[in-house]
Amino acid sequence: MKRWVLALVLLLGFGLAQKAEEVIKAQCAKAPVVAELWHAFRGGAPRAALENIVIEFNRRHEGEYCIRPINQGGYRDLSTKIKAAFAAGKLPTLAQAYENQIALYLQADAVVPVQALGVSLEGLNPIFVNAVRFKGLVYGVPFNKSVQVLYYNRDLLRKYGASVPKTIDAFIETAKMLSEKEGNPVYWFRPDTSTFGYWFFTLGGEYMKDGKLVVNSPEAKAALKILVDSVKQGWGKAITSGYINQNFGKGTYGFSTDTSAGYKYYQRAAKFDLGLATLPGKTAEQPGYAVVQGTNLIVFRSASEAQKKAAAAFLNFVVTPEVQAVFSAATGYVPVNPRAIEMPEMQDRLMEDPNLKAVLKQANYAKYEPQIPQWEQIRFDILGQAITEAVLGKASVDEALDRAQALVDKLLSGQIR
Amino acid sequence: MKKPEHLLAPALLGTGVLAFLAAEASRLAIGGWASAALALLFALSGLALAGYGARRAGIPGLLTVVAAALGLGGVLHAPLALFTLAAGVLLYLGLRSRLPEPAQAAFWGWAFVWPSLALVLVWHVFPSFFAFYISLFDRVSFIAKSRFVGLLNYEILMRDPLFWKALSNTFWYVVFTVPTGIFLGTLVAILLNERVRFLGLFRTIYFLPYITALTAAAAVWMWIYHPEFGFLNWLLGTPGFDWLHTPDGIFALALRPFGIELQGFFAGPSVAFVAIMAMSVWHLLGYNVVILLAGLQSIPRQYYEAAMIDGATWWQLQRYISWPLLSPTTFFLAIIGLIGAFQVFTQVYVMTPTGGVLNDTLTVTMYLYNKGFRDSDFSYASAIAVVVFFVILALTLLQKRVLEKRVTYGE
Amino acid sequence: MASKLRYLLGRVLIYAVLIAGTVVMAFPFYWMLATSVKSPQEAQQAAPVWVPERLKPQNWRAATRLGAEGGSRFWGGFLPGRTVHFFIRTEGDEPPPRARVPKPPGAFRDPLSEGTRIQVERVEGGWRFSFTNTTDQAFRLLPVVIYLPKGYGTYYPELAPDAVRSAGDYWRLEWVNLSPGLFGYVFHNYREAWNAAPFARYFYVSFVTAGTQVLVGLFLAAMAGFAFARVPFPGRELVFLLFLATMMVPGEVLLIPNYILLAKLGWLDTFYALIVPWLASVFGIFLLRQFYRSLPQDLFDAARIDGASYPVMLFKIALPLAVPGLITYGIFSFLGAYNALLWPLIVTQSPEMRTVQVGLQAFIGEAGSDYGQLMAASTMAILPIIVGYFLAQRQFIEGIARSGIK
Repeated sequence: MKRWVLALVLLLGFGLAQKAEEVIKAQCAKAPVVAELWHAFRGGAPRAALENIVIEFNRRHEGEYCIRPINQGGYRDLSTKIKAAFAAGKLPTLAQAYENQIALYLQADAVVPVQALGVSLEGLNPIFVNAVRFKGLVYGVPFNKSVQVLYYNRDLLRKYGASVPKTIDAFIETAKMLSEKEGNPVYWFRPDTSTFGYWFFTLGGEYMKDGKLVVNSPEAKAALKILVDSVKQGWGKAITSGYINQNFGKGTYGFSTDTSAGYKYYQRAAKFDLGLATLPGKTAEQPGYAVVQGTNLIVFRSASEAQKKAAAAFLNFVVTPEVQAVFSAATGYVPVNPRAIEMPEMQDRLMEDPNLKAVLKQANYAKYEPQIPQWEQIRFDILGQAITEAVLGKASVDEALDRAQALVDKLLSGQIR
Repeated sequence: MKKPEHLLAPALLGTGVLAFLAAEASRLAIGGWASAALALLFALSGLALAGYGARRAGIPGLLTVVAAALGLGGVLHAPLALFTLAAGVLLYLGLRSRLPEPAQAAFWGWAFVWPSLALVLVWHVFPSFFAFYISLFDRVSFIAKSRFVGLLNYEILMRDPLFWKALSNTFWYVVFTVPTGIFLGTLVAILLNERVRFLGLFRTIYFLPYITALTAAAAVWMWIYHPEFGFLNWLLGTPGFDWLHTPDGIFALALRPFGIELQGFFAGPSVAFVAIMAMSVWHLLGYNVVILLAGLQSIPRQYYEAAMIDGATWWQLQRYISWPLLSPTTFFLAIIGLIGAFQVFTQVYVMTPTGGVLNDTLTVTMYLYNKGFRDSDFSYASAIAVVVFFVILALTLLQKRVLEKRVTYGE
Repeated sequence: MASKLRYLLGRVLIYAVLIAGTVVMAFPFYWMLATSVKSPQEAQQAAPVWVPERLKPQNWRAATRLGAEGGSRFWGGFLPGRTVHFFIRTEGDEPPPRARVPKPPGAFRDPLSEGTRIQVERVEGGWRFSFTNTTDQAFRLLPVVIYLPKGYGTYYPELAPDAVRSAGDYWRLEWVNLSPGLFGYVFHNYREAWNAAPFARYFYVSFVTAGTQVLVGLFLAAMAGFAFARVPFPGRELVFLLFLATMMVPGEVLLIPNYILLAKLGWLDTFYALIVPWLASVFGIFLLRQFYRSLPQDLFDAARIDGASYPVMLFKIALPLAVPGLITYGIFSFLGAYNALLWPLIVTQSPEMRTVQVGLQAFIGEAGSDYGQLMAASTMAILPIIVGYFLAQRQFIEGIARSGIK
């Protein structure tokens, strides 16, 4: 009889194992305080990892409060939803946000500095923390962070006896040599603000000069010139379609300077021995500077005191080495708490995959992009377009960046939208 | 001439509905004191009307009701308005037997129209003006404060290269998809009209894409266009070609071998955008076919028979009978296509979420969405919407003038 | 004779063109269905896989047997105390393979991977793997990874693996579910897509939204259309002009103000937000007005003489004759509501209020997404409309055709 019932359930086939989402829903149904967390993990490992972390947190705080993660689509959808929620006056307690978005929300003083809530930032990666510092106060807890690293094709390097380049000059030289021998450009890059950012920061560039945003500084032009020249000289290939790893099928891949968040997809797509290293630096002593990417968790001022308390407890939980180790091992994001490396999960991951050491080291050499509300628009519509145009040969480096600077000035002074 | 009391009942209905809307608006603090004043005005005039009507009709009972309503006076809220509404209905019911035809028509006409009209007023008419109102402010984001700037947003918009890019993309979209859709639709409809077997099956297959959700359809086409695993590249033997991320204009590509370099607008729509257009034509073709087929079937058989007796060839039949007699239908499809082109969003949003490598698939609606929701500038987005309204209006009128001369109506 | 030949040639040409068109039109549907039963690795092949493993009878047999061992023969599963035996035929003598049940990412504890006892034994002609559920829980899937030394060269697993990857000196063979059962095997993507998101709720929201819009919208349009067509009330021309004008206003214009209005009303993320703004359809009112006008005037004159009031004329005479027009509007209204993306995307926030299209949109675009599952989800999303079409084919076609007649 019982077997029949079971068989019937199985025959229906759906929903036998409990979904994480439903477990959380059940946890929150009983909790006296529910704090919503709006996130942009649509699925896959990041979402599963976040939900599992939340389940564990809620379990430990049963009867006190409960965090309810709600996916709002991708990052773009999430920011749309938050802006929409501003109009409606119905903000969640917690949300993922980029630095420039925090700057925007701060215009309405809508975000609470996390330390005022009792969140401890001790021991966290200072670069990530400083990225969310506005006028001395930290307005978010760095969460799913990634940095660029140097991906390379070990097989190709081995074939010609080349070593992994440590400096920019060595990198260009190696790329040229390999491209010549293979008859194909081996340095693949997406002509966007991130790739540009690595070269720009490593050449010593800074976006903010005396409180003014400058995108056509000599370093910027030098950085963009490297990318443009790489294509002209036949050692660099601009990838405009999708992610770099989606293009492995054609041509000879040698190097890319890409975000560590893509490691899993690189691994999945690579049919060669994939290597990871720190980015080539100006000198051999120190790696190049990566661009900090990824979001932070912020707490909105409109939440109730009880919800803020729950949020603070959750944030304190998230940054513990234990959670960071689990999260990082599962998703490939850089642990924001360096002590996570000592945890068994991370040790296991590192043993399984020594490549990850490069990511962890690179996390100490990174810079963040300007924390201004308009940055998203500049990043894509102005600077990003200028970089793409220059690399695709539609404009010269000087033209492209000077025009971008003019647009930036106009945008920031309100002459254009 | 209609006597004024014939219009009493519908006027009461009207003031009732309007008072209700205004009272709700003032409750929600929309329109400030103006909505409160309007609510009061409507409610009072409704009550006055009710009193006048009751006196004229000599219904003491209704007078009592009105007096009670006045007792509630000063209450600026929905109940009062609803009262006026009820008074209108009561008045009509009380007078029904004595009312002549025009008064009945007036009452019922308005009674039938009011629910729709109220919804249209609230959700279409009011927002249209509100959009214009918002567009007069500086960067309305609901996050930071904004100030009145007059027509500044429009001024900026006129010299915004991205907006012009989006407009020119939309222009190409219309130029490519509308004639293609109508031509293919007419071809298929004419063939299907040739008494083919399995008409139902053919029609079903041509029609299915139209009822398929664009989201799902876009997902499938993305998969077909996929550079690495896509079916199209396998079919054409072009592995790795990335249809949806090739920003080069197709005219520029076509003429490049001849040493001619086309720039900007004249480079034509990008390969990516053409790929999206192909998907859109696929999606809409079934609609065109069904409409055109219905148009064809409404052409009397005698026309063809008469022409055949005169020895006309098949081609001549189509050219001189079907095509001209279909022209009202094609005109209709052209207008629908034109308006639809300005609203293209879903397929672009799903297939090229950032609007293309070089903004080459950015459509007007995408740009509006980006400005409003990505860059939190609802006022600039509203300005785009208002301009789009005038562009569509102008184009429709133009199209009407140009095409109408060549459209053959009736028999 | 020549004319007969020409006629025949013409017919052949007609069919050739029609069939070629049909192939192009139908291909995306075929491709969607074919991909929806593929494993990720099969989907991601440069040359198309025409017959996926999941449609091969020999795999069905194995899937049925394995499913029966773990749970049921049709839907598989991994019940407490059950043991699933799996066999890989190998040639040669090499170090033993390793097997494990992968842990879901980020899980603090995972009863499935921790509670499954795995045994690997050498048997005649190959290796035998047994997976025993030592917990007291039932699981839907039994994902398994087997590392097989590359030295074996050829190997024949009982059930084709969903992915084969190279991992150093091993082949890494992956099964998303080693105890699938027949349907659980073929429809794996559908079941997982269904489970990946609360699709049941999405469908519910979509149907309530579209259904209410159709029913209430029809009622409103039937009344207003009648008033415009047959009731000579004062101000008719003026109101009609107003309605006409709103048709010229593109939807984009309304997006932001309506959003703000909903926010003020506190209606965001409710059914009201999805339904109310689109209840009054000017298009529907026009359509029905045209329809009522095409009915003979004598009908109404006669009723008038008999003393029928306007509501009686509307509900007793006009409406029954206008059923085709109602169907046309109903179909358009339903299609529009069910297939809408932009509006529900903006006004809904919680998963409980998402429509199917918003849910589907969330599937797309996830980096490295599983195309098999995506196509399965797409199929599910369009299924209700397609089924509806086949149930009411004539009404659909005639209804749509009617919208074009001015």
